[in-house]
Amino acid sequence: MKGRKWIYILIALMAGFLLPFYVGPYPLGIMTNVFTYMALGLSWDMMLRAGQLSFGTSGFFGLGGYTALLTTLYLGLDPLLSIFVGGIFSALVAFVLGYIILRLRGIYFAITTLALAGVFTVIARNLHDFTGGPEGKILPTTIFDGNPTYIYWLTFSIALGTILVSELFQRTKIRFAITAMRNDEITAQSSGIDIFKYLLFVFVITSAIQGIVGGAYAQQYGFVSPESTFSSNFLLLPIAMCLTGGIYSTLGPIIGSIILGILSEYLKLRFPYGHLLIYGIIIVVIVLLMPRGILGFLKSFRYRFSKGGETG
Amino acid sequence: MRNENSILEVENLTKKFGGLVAIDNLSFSVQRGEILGIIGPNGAGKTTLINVISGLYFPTTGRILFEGKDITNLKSHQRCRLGISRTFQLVRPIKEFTILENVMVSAIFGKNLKLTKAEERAIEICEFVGLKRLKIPIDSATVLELKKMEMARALASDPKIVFLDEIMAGLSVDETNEMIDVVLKMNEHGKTIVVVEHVMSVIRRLTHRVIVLDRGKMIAEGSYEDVSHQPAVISAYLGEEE
Repeated sequence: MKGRKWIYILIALMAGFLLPFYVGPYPLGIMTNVFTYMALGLSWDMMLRAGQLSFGTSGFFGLGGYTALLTTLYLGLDPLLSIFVGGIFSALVAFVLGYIILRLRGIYFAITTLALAGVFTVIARNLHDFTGGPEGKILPTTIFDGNPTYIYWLTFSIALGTILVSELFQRTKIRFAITAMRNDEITAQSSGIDIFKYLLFVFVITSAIQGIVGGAYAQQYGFVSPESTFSSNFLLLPIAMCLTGGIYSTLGPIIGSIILGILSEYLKLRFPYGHLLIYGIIIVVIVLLMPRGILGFLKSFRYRFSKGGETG
Repeated sequence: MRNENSILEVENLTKKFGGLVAIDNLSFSVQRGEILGIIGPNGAGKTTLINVISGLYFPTTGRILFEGKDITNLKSHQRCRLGISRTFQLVRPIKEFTILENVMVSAIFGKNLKLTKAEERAIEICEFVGLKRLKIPIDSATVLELKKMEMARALASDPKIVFLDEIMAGLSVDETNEMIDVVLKMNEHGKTIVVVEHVMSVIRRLTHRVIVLDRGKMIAEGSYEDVSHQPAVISAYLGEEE
């Protein structure tokens, strides 16, 4: 059973890596997008696993994007390196802000993170000389000179790295800390868990991931602007994907991002004028019918038919 | 003033919630190795006292010393790691975890163990308190199992002093006897224990010494036999005689 799981993982890895040799640039572009949202979804879910709903995803994504692009523009930093600088900057900002706002809980924390993302946008729009204001900034070239294969491999690697971090969250003592915190903070702290430390740790890590993804996105198009880089798409789509696939897991956001990512492209081709409406309806129906996501649905399905036999 | 043998000292402790004085200038100490009972009518401040000592609330005034060290400003998780642990009156399991995982949490973070070591320790401690079904989810555990899980969790961090907040509430006579045996066994293994309890027969059988609280003040102290005959205690429980 365990061995077969590793074979599946290996096949998925090989398929992911070799995809550019079998498909053209258009499907490759779709998958690049899927991996972008996959990493964002996983990072959002990791914060959720620690018990806090964050709406800061697009904020830290944009922050990383601006940092990467501007460091390349002004300092001539290598685009690949600038992506990581974007991640580090997002992490730093998350550390400082988290130190203050992680004293809030639940909806108060959520609404504050949403406001922060708004503040970042306003700053980007108004620092005219530095960020280019509402028009944004453009680089003369895009990363890898726009080679879709390399760009695909880049986002694929970022998604893989995020999956790895997510699995570390699921397999080490971090899982015990954040699951306990999410369920009952009083029990958690009475059992010796430093809740604030773990929340700050998770907030910084997930913001770093969002910053890296944003950096890669900005370098991929060689362009940032307040409206596109801080777009609420980078907040709402990952959440929709996690809810579709199933929260509190690594596999859920992966499934959700692949299904919704490909579905949205298909709908766009099929119904050029109504695709978003249909897309929205499908998400609502899935969330209504499968409140625990596709993964949760499959699990309970399997459980029902294997009762008495081996169960997970 | 400081007694070498005392493990915990509470000095002039006051806790107010707005205008309500839950604990009123309370001072007492717990001796190393003893089983101390805290009794008193509903609303006397017993659970508030545990919450203040375990760090869930901070006192309005006063100090708490643990092994001579001032811990008044330490947070809950820090006090847990120093060796103060507690159970909850209404059990608070982590519902997504099994019984064993619940106990492991405290071994991992309270005693700073690696996962495999923590699991070994949690299994040992579950055995110690008499838990048999370790891998069951919380929603299929019995009341007794949940109460024992609370005890095991309190023990897994390897505390020096354990506060047991009404662990017998809701248990049958047989189950109560079983729990009393576990508490006595804990004490034999060197744990200092503070029991908050409503059931007087339990207090009589368990404790070396009893403190009686009423409206946040200590109204009596001594052995159970002494205390239970004092007029102030009787009137606190039954009301004044006309």
